Amino acid sequence: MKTPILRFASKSSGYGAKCILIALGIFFGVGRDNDADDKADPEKAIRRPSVNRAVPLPAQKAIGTSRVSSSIDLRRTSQQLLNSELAFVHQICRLTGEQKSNIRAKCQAALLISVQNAAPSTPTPRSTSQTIHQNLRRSVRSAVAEVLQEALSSDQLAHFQDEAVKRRNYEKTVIVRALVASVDANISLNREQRNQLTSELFDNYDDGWESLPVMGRITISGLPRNVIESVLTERQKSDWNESQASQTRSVAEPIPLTDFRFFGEPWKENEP
Amino acid sequence: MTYHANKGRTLVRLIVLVPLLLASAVSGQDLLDDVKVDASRPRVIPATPLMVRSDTFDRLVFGATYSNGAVPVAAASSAAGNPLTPTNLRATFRAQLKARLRQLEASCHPTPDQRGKLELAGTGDIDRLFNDLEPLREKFKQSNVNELNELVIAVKPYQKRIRTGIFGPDSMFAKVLRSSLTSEQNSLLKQSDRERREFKYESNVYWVVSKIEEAVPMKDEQRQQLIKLMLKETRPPNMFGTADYYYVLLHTSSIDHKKFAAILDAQQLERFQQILRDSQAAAQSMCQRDGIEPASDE
Repeated sequence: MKTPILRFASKSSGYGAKCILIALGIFFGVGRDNDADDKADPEKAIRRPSVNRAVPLPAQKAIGTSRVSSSIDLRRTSQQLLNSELAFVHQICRLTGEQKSNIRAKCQAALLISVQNAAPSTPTPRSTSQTIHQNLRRSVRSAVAEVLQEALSSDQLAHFQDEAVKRRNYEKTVIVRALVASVDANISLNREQRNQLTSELFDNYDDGWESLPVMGRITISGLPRNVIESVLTERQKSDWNESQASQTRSVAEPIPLTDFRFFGEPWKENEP
Repeated sequence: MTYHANKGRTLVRLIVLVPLLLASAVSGQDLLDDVKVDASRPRVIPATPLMVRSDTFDRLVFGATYSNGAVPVAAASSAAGNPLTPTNLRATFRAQLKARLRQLEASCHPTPDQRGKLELAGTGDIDRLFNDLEPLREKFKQSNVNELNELVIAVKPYQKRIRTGIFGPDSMFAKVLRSSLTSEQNSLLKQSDRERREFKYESNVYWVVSKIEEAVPMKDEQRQQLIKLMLKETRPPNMFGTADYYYVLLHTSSIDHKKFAAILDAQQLERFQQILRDSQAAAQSMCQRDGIEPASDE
């Protein structure tokens, strides 16, 4: 490994300059094995401002990363999801300070297990951030719901469960409407057909649709054919089949509905 | 012992250093001069031939672009994973043209003659785009790193043309459409387009609110009121695409904030306004870039 002085020397064009710099390099420690030093003391490697760092920074190990080769930081994402979910709980139930700290502690413990379960054991191309994010969200919500069974009063719990169901229905509506708009752009539905298809897809909802790249080219082949065709005219069915045959997809990285933006913020202890 | 060892090491270093310093003096080159020469002489980057993949140009031009009316993305290869080639891209545009023709048939029932003219005009738009790009494609193939920037700038108008829809208002397709439809057909088409646009916009507002909820959790009643307010106070855009999310936020931010205060509590309102503020710059820039604005009723 070259010291900065030797690196500069090799770039310099003048012979004299090279000589001086090489000499200085010798004087201050030529051939000094930084790699070995770094291995012996990783902290030193972190402090040294070197471009070619021999020893990588101590990895910030995320929960479950050993089981999934994905860029998603499971620990950070799950923490954001937990914060978001706890903020929802607080918004609905107006928790007391004691309830908040109790729930948070229990949820943190439950989360460790949930996150490990959410990480797929075999990384596949589909094990991308949207699928993992979706699994994580489900795991976090289920872990929190379990903790709340014990931690909330019966009134609070009933209120929370009611709102949670409404929220879930709303989320399904968001996905279904986006899908119908995509189908509509392809085969031109009329108003009744849009409404009918919205209702049919809602009734036959599949969680997997949440990882479809709604913002890009929708993968409408993932939709149930019988449901789609039940609302189409014969002409539209033929158009639908044709559009499926020539289906295209975005070259750009698709932006899944669940991943496009995340506003998760810490759940502040001093919140009312 | 240590003292003597150190002394010895210093002596060795001096023995090595002194002849080298003398050599430097003899060569008549000063270190500072050397550095000065480097700084004053502009470094010429050799014109290294840039080997580009055959689909790089197409990725640059067609990548991450969306067509008007949320019809599938222009930047596309086939779902079967076919390579990104001009042939496959043409097929994508033809599929878009067909989708647009289907919309016309469903809404204003054009005659076979009208349909033929429109199809011809649309095909002409596709051909024109690819013909216009051909010289650039050739240039790009033989370009080096110094010309790369120039090419990125050169393809920008085409990126915009694709992003905003090649069958948009300035296209041959749109001109033929305006001149060939009867007034009755025109009004039917406008009504149908408006309905489709409103449905799509509604779905976008639903989606944006669901994203906002990640930072501003809401009760169902608040959620429904917020959506209702946003749909009432904002209008759908003249085109859909990559800026959909930001368009909604941009126009939501122009709503009188007192109306939000009637729906959200103080803490929710603060976070909600923060989201609107944070998105302002990006939203304005994206909408301005592609001329995205509220659709007119005409």
